[in-house]
Amino acid sequence: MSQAMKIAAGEWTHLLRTRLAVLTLGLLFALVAIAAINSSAQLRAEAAERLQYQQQADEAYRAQPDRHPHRMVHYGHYVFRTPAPLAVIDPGVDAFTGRSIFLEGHRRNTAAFSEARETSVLTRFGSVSPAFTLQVLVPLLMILIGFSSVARERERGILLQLLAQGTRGAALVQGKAIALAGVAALALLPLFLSALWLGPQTPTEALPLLALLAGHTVYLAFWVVLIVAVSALAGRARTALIVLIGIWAMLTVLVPRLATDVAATTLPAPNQAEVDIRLQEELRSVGDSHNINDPGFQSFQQQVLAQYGVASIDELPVNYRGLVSLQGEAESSAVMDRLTAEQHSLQRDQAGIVKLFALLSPYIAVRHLSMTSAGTDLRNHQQFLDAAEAHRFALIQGLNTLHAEELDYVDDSARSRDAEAEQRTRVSSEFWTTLQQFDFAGTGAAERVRSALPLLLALFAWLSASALLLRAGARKVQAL
Amino acid sequence: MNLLHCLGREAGLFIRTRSSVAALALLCVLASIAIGLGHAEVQRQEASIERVRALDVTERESALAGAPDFGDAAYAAYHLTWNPPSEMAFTAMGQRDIAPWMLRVRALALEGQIHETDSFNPELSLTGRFDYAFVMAFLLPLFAIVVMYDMVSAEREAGRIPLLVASAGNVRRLWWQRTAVRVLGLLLACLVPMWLGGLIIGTSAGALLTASAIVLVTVLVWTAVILVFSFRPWSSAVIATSLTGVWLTVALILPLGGKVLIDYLEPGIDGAQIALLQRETVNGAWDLPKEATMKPFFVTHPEWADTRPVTEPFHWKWYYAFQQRGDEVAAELSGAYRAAITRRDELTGWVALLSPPVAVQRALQRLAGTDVQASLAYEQRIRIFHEQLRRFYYPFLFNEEPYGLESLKDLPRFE
Repeated sequence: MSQAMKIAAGEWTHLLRTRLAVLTLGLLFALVAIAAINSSAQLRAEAAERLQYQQQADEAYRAQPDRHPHRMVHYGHYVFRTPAPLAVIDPGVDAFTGRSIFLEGHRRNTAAFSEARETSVLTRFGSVSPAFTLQVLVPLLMILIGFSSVARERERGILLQLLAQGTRGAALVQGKAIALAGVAALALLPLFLSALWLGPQTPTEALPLLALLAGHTVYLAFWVVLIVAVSALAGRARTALIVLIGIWAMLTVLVPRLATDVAATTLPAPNQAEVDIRLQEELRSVGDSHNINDPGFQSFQQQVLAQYGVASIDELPVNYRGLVSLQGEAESSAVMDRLTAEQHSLQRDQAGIVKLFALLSPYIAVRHLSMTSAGTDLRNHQQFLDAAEAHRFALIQGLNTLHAEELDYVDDSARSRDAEAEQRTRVSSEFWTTLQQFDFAGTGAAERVRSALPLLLALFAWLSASALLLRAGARKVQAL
Repeated sequence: MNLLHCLGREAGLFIRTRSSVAALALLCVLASIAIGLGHAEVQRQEASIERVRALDVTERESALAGAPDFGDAAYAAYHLTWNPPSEMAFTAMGQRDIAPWMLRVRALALEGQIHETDSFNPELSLTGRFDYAFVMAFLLPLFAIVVMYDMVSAEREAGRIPLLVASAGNVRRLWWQRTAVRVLGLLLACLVPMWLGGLIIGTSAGALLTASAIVLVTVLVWTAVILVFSFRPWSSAVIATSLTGVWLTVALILPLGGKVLIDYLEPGIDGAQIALLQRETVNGAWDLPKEATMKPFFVTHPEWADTRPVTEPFHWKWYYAFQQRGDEVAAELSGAYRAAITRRDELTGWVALLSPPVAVQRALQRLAGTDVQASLAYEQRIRIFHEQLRRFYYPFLFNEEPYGLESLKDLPRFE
């Protein structure tokens, strides 16, 4: 057995003999396991619930009676977000985003009903997930287990004995690091087990899963090396502990919050109410598509008449009111899409600022790597919103096309006053059964992994930095 | 030797420990940053409300000017509601980055409007803000541990205990004095930034005193916890380890465990159900005889029962009656939804009994009017305003009065 392995074995024997260390180890393993179990149980329940709601909404839509197509435009449809498969490991922003969207004509709604609003302040303390435990709790527990690994030996004078017996400083710190890596492996075990369980169920997620595992492994390796390095560099065990807790608090608690505030302050986002008012002003220039005489549609009318080669709208072979609906929806959607794209890009820029802080905190690097790989980050949420919007636009324009092609212009114009004309403007309920299913697959696995890679590099950079510190520690031990 | 003199001597000794002073200075800097950022955020929110209120007035004017009748006017005119930051909001942002503090409503069914979320960046909400409540809940205890954990054990490890016993006479009093100096240092580091921030903004002394009392209790509770450990005959390292473990347990593990338990005890109602029910009722009305809407509407609004019945396929009074029916049908579910949120909040209060970080966040958020109750209260104000709004339009709609902008000058205002 090499010197380092002997030291590592000795450290483990010591840990298992120390009551506090055993207690901490037990706590650590229990936390990670409980988080994994709770998270998967909760997610499965939620996925089933979402699916049920989606089916309920689909059935309700398909079961609508004979109706005027524009009634269906206002009846609208609901889509629900089902959690990404890897949300079991990292739920990311899911608790802070709405889970359902109402799709209707004339409007692009935001996702409503977020978990954070419905639950209590406790949601703000972190998530009960393997990712949060591994990223925040486990490093602190590892500090409690490992801070004294070298410093203790120094305080008791054992270090000098070991050196006198020919142990090299490098072998000593390596041994201590190997022992602490064992603790990290114990913490990672539930993650690896759930990967083994998740992998075969969702083969497409294999690559992101690998990125997740790699990210967390490198991140915990950083902590292992850092803890032993500080323990070797500090004169006393308690100094090592205080310094390490300080570093931990700074990297996982302080810097992320500061990053948030820096992002929100340097790039202030407009309030939704403000965006909505701007939107309404712009839409006024589009015109009200319920009113075919709206000035906004004058040139459109000329264009349609010219296209069909007729003199007035009642000579058209199609229902002009439906054409106006189609045109109005297309124009207003273009405005809404532009304003939403602006908002989304601002939010991504804010997230980009936070991500820059990965240079100041490996926690930010691993958190973003984890969310990105799992498909539970801001980007993925925005893609969900965009997919829902595309679904909405197709649905509404389908209905508007019915409005234009299936309805008689004269009846349609008289329907508010004439009950018989109103009856004739109802189209068969069979049309509603052609509702397309809303499928949101999320960002592709390859793209997620690609955007996670720079963060993995950042984590390696952090690991290298701590390795340099460890070398300095080894030299200090050797120099005793 | 009088007490003041002794405290002065201990303070002098304390100031000469460079690491402790550095820790307190850092705490003070962090608290100041938090206050500064909180203040900037409050100003941004106030400016935003002011700007949008002005936009809201002109937007509504153009909406009303373009409407052909009262039904269309009520449909097109949005009204801004807002929940301004309180004088203490700079200390605790609380719900203000997840629950809307501005919402536009119109006279249509409210349940379809009131659950709208604002476009908060979820990645920023996920982390939460660097506010004063955060510093008090999470960082203050860590700093308290740093300045107090080895008060006794360091002396013992340096072999100075016999010397202290000989020179001080009453060692117990000496420990009290040392504790008092450290508590005072922590309080100064936390309270000075808050008072300065509060005085600059012009916060009332009463609110600042209440917040100070909350900080004082937090410091005292943590001091008590730390003393229990630091008087143990353990090594400094063991004491520090144990205290970090305690902090980890009450600051992170208990709150997260509490959340799991609360989710289990009070599963709550999925908001989507309210939206679905309201929408089915409102849209279903189009296919029902007018009577099916008007009859139940007249039960809750008997004052309009004698107006001309609706005979045509479409009439605005029928339209707004079924909007109101949608709200009435969803009212029970919607009430249960809010009740579940309140019960969850109450259960959180029990977690706060065991977890000082939860308690201090709740207390400061309550004081700042940024807690769950405050956001529900804002929702209630929106409900009352919406009620005024639709009742304002009813006479014009049911009496079928000719449209005129003059009649709209008394439109209810949200204040």
